[in-house]
Amino acid sequence: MNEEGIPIFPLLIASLVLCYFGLEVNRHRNKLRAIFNVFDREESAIAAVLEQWVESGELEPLVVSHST
Amino acid sequence: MNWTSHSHAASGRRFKLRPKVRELPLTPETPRFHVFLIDTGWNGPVSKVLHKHIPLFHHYHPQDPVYILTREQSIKILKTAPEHIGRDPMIVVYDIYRSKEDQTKEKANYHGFRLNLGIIKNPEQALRKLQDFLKFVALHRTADCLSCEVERELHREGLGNMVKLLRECSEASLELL
Repeated sequence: MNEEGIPIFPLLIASLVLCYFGLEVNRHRNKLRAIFNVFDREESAIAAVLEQWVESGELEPLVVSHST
Repeated sequence: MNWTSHSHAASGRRFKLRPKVRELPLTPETPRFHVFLIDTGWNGPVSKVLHKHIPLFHHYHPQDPVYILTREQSIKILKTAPEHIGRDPMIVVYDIYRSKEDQTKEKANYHGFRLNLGIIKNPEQALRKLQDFLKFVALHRTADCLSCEVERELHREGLGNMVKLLRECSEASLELL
């Protein structure tokens, strides 16, 4: 039988570090996706309005005019 | 050099922003995207950086029209997607082509991709993200499945973040022990 028992402190630290790591990875992942992602189902309302505005001419593209 | 609004009617050119299925292979010169800048003005310093550098989109890709929405238009559009309120300035790159093969339910709603710079508070970081975004558009504009490329990019960045985190975690745990 192991007289020393289970090393609780290092295990506790390791599990804390793992938890922190998991939470941080998740937080970074969510932030990354909030900043940059595909424009799809969730944004289809925005896409529909943009399509409508461009087709109706309400929204016009910009052009660079080279002034001398 | 000035930025001016261009009338479709005057030029006789009217854009149709509906997704198309392409017949011919894409080349770097093929007009593919419509770029929109949505900005209600929450994040002043980042807005300033973005408005200063948005002409670069035109310089790199003159075949893709760039639209800058007014504050009123931006507010109106974010009313339809309230989850994005506070995340603008936002660059939406609308992709008019969809992959011929990839018409799965998950990707059927694909319209392009977006960059929400309002989440970033530091203008320098925002500028770096904008540079990466512009590079992404330039590198993948002929890609058949752009949503796959976005996923790949997210994985790559995620892995980079994970390595950074691992390093920080190991340093912190060593200090604790």
